[in-house]
Amino acid sequence: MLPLGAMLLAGSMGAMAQEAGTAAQAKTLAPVTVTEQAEGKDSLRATTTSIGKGKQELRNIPQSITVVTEKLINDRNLDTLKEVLHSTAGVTFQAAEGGEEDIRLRGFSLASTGDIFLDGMRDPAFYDRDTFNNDRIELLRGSASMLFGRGSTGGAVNQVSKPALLKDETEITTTVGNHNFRRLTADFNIKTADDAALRINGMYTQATNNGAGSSIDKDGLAANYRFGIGSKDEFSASLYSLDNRNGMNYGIPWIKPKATDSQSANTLINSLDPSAYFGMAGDQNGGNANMGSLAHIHRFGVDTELKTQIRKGRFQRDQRAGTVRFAGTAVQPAVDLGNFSGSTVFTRGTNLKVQDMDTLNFQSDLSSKFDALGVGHEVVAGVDFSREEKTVFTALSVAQGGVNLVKPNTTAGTPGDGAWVDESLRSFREGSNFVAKAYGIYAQDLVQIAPAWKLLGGLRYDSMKGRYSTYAVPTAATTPVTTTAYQQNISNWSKRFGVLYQPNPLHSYHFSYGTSFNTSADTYSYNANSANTDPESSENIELGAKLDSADKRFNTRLAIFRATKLNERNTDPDTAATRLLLSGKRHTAGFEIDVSGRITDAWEMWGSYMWMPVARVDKAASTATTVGNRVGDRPGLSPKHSGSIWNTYQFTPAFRAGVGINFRSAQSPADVTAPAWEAPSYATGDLMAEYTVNDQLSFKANVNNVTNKLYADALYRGHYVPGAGRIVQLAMTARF
Amino acid sequence: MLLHIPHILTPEEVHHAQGLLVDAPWADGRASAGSQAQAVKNNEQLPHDCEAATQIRALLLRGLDRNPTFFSAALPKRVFTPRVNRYSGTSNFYGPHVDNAVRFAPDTGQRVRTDISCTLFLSEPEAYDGGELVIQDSAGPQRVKLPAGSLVLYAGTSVHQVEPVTRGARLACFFWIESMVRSQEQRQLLFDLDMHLLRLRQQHGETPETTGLTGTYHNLLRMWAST
Repeated sequence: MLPLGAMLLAGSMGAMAQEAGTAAQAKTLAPVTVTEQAEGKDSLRATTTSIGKGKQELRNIPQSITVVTEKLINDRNLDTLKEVLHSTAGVTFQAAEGGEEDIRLRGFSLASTGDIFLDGMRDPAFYDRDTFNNDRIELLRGSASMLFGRGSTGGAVNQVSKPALLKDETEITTTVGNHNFRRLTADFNIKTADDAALRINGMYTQATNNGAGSSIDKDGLAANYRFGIGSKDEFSASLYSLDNRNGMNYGIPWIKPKATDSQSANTLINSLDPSAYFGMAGDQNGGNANMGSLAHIHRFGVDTELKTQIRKGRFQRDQRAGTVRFAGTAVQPAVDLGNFSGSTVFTRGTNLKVQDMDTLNFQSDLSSKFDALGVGHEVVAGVDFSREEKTVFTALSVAQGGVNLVKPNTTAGTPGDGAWVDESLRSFREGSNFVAKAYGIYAQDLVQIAPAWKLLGGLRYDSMKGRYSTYAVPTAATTPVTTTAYQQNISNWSKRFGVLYQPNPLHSYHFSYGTSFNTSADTYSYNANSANTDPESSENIELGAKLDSADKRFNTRLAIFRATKLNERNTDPDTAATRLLLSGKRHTAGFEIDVSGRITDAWEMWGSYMWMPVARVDKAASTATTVGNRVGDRPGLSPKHSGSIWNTYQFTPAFRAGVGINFRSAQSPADVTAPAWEAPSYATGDLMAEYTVNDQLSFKANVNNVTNKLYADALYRGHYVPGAGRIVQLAMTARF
Repeated sequence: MLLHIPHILTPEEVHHAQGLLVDAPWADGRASAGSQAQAVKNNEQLPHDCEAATQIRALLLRGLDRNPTFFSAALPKRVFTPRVNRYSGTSNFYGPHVDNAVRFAPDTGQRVRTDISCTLFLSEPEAYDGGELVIQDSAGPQRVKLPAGSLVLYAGTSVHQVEPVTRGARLACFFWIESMVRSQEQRQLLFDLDMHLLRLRQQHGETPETTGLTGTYHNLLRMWAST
């Protein structure tokens, strides 16, 4: 016989206990997203991820993942996605002709293949991403088309938005710094009911110089409202808006030590300050991103949930900037380091990118844990649909009724000369339009086949329909418009297999094999040949381990990998060919290690390092002449060593200090004509000191790139964009 | 209210928990204390997310699930993450203090009002000297030292302390409960009513009178409980 109180309450105490990441919680319908996120605000270490679709423990994903938590983002003062990626190993940047965030991972391009994601959905537009609404950034390394569809030879980057949490908290941070830097971020979290909350994040930033030459002027606003948090049906609605009016440093030309040297001696102009700027005062990398999303989670029980999301995005990009080059021999003798001086003349070009992008994404993911046929299963399955439309605008020439803005020359001795042209006088017409409609369906099962062993198998089918139209007009008139259209239908399978050996709760070892494919529509354009070409395919093999310390407060992840592009596109030397050759092959191989967590109570550490001794083109077209694309070449933007380390030490309850290093070994730009050259290796140091007055008020000072080191951050064959020089910033954070 | 509940954990579970604590990553206990308590606290605690703490917590919550007396006495609504502490060597006491009225679980943003304090003993009394939990009850100081696996439950409002451990180590798990019935007196009345009624039902079976009193219990609970 039972007491009445016991009958009444017969249930799980675990369900009433509130805590993160424990066995007790696994039994409840507690708001898992809430608990998982909190880790990132308080710790450099992360144990769960949503990058694998559905929430999973990192130890159950047989692939290398680097997670940059909000704490690390804050500690190191990382305001943009690019700065975050700087702090991870294996990532490099191509300056590209569009000046975009062309991110490379393990030597393979991410951005041009659309491998940037926001909350698990593709975020393909080019815009200067800000971290003000990021709870964390996750970097999945290696082929992952099984999860994400087309792309992802090198990996994928997922930005996780800040979710509304069940608490009332406001955090306002004001930051001031050199170069007239001012940044205000505000984070309001309001609990509106027992199971509902609203979170609003705002950002406003201005600076005359970002440390690498360009000005900053941007603002953003994000809101998330969730209700039914932790209950059977949870709903979420989000709005996001970012408006960039940033300036832009399009790059500085490479220089030879002596004019008679071969171009293999090309190097940086070391006498220039990293923040020296030679573009026009009116150059801009403007643009805005606007997104609205709805999400619903239905929990069928403790272990099964269905998450459905839909997002509409509209992106406008308005980049008006130009190359900086040495003026030619009509003005001055050939420039080299010997004669370079303050009176060396630079010309300024015109490189425009005006384009819009519209995206519509829908996806539904089911994750479930159950026992069947005597073994445990963790299944993730889902469908997704997307429509992406990109419209590119072309400037009208003078003969077509447009204007030709003449940009004056400048000299090396007068950086930031303030000269400007009125970019608003330019007029544009629609130049091309690309519409991609795609769907994918996938399923993955993680089977516990024996006490310490799990097997993973996953399969995905993708279908994409691409339509591309270019609009040509006569050289001296705007009509008639001649439309040339291409279209392509792609369908493809992707797979992933893995074995996990987990002898105890602290150790997890994995071997995995995954494939991916990328289409010739990756850059949202076609030509007569590419529209007929099948996708490229890639595979990734990885052997790795995730090892936790006994108290689980320190994680180590390591892996050896080999990523291979099996059939790279090449131009067919036969001029009559109707399609590109898929005869190329290249691979990279190396070792990666990530560490994160507390070494002692006071010492917290985060590190990410990649050693990539192997990067090689295995097969190429017989006509290949550019460096990085011939057989035996090491491709550009694939340094042997890359990484970042960050340490903080809590000296007293009020005072904490941090020190870190980012480094890359020497690397070449991609696609240069032989002979190639290398940008020198570099290491930059960062310092941080934080003083916490009380729970409500803290001050933090950051000095990034302490030595004001000049280094080539983004590389292109014609120029390099320097990394930010010394940045000194002081932030005051108020919480209430 | 001061209530001893024996056998929350079985001897095997106690043994398992003790095993987990042999090489556990102990940390200074002052981290979790409020400012008044910090001045008098001198013990060691397990980081709440380490493996040993996680497993012991799971054992404890399962043990509580099995225990009807505990439910009847506590009428729990929320439980604040149970923690594990150790008194031994030079970190061996916790002077008189009152627990913080509201604990904030940073993970969930949830606040837990500490109506009831609980201590589960994990060391056998003969394994250490001293270490009595002394609770200032309305009836004067109550000295508690229970067998491993047993729990004491007392009002969060009372001043209490752990006396210095002079030999051996005192291992325990402690946690707080926000009860559905906020008032200690009302909770005590409900518990007494429930226990007497249980005995009546055991002696006489279900009668119209016990049914009527059961109704009274539920109506009182309806009047006083917030869910």
